[in-house]
Amino acid sequence: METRLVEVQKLKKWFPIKGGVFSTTVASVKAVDEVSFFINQGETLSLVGESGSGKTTAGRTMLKLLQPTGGKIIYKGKDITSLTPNQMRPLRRNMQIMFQDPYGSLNPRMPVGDIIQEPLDVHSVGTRKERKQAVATMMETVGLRPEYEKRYPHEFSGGQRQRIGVARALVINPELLVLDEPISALDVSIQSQIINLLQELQQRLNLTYLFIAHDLAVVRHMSDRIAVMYLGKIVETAENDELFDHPLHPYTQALLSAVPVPDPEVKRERIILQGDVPSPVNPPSGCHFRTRCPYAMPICKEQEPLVIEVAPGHTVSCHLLTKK
Amino acid sequence: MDNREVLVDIKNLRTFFYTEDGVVPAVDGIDLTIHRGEVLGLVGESGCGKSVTALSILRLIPNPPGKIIGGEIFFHGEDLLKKNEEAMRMIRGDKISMIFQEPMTSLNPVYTIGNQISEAITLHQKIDDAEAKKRTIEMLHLVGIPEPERRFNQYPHEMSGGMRQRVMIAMALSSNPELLISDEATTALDVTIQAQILDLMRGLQKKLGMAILIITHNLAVVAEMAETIAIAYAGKIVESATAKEIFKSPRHPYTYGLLQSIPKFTERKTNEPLPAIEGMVPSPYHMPKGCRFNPRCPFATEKCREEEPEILELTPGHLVRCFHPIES
Repeated sequence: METRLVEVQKLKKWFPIKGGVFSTTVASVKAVDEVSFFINQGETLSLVGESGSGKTTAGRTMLKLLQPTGGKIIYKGKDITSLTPNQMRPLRRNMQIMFQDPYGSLNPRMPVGDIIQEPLDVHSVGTRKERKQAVATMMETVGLRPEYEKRYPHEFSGGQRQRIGVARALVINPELLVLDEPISALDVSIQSQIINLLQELQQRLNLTYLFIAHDLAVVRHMSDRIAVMYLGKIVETAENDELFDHPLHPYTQALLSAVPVPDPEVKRERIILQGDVPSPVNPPSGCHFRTRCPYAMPICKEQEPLVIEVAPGHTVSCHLLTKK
Repeated sequence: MDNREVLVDIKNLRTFFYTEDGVVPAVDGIDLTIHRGEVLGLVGESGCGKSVTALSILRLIPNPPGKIIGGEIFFHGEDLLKKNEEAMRMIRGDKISMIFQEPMTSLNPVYTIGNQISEAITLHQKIDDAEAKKRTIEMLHLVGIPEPERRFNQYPHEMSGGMRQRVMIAMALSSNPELLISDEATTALDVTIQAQILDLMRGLQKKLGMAILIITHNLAVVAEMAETIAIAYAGKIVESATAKEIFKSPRHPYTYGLLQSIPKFTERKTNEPLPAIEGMVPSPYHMPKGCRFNPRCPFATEKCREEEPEILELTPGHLVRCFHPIES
């Protein structure tokens, strides 16, 4: 039996919008609205969705980098939802994050050796000498030459900076790594290098990944399981092949059909969705997807669809499936 | 044998940038032919010179630091590089229009979109304001913007990214151009919106018959859109052929490596590493000697490190710049 490393239940993150004379909360951006998922030890769960779907917020709230508005976060069987930052600190060693922007996420005034060493300093791991050694080993592991430790971020290319980001996240030996669009800012020929590095490290160090991405080809290559988000909700969760072979939610179907395929001889039926993603401040009533759904029915406006398990590990929330 | 009419013929274009740190040969010998009504995909990574090529066609290279130092760009048989600024202004936004990646920075935030499109129309056509407004609304309708009469009076910030890109397309097509240049026009958009815009561009191309030069780093986008593909690397075209040929039998090691390295959406998960291209794109200040791809090429020989290969037609219509092309 696989062990669950982390689980979130009905996780909510609402951002208040202040307005009026007294700066009262006039509305909320429901970035993440009752989202539930779990990640097993050593696997990769991908959160996919378009911009504004709440995938990044979900990842950050799971790490408690953002305080959840509601719901539960369970890490290794322990409820960590209401831990204070001080109580969180020992746990932070086990959960790290890597960001999308290789230019914005590294301090330009710090040499990369110090950047990579910082987590060790913060958590006071080992002696000074041991930390230096750990940094050198880590740099080698991610494919950077240890003698570059005195160089500054601007001396590195985008791909190398992402390697620095990986090294900084992994130097403290975490169990869980949140990868927030780690390759989307990179050139095509560099993307595959970073994908390979992440996969190799996962196997070698038995890491658990939450992979946040919008590129479905990369998601297909990297994931064990996939959760599809739309406007703050998870609409479908399934194992990798199951999701790509039998997508059941109309949004998943449209999303998969919208991906261009790098083969001019493949002609596919394409579901072109009309309109844009509605605002998360004022999402549609009932099912959030109904305004763009080609199969919308009267009930979709009135009731929010329940999450139904259609096959082991494959859950969908859509009224089409409850109708029968 | 190719009896289609040539619309644009770029010969040995060279555009350099003279910066404080040295000379950047952003475009260093690019040849491209675009036929009337053809969709050509120009593909490459950042710094390969694809956008500079587009800006060179329109003569929009900022000078200084940039300068077109050589080559010819024939449009209907006339060299655009020999035209004066006045004549270029009559071509830009009229016979050749361009849409950019970031619609928010390409639209003026303080004018309504109706105002901006009408301006583009009245600039090139002798019609009055009422007529221009009518034409603008027609264009907005054509690109699938709902309620065009109401949208006419809206400002760019009132629209979503996909809508703004439609406005850009409406503006670009309002003059009925013969060539539309699309520079990463769908890159900033979400996949479902990208699908909408690509679908729209395909439909309009069929309807209006203009040629499109699609500039992108996304191989999948050109696979869906283009008839012909040219692959650029470090300021040069390394391979060009029909889309089918490029994907079925790439001959240049860079094209081959690129196609191998992208994860396939249709393939099941394996734990095998992707066949990645080692190393990185060379710095424009220090271009390698010989073939520019040689430091990353698995087939490089002494010759590749010393001499620069010419681009050769290996089979009819399939051009490759390599001493050791991959067998088809």
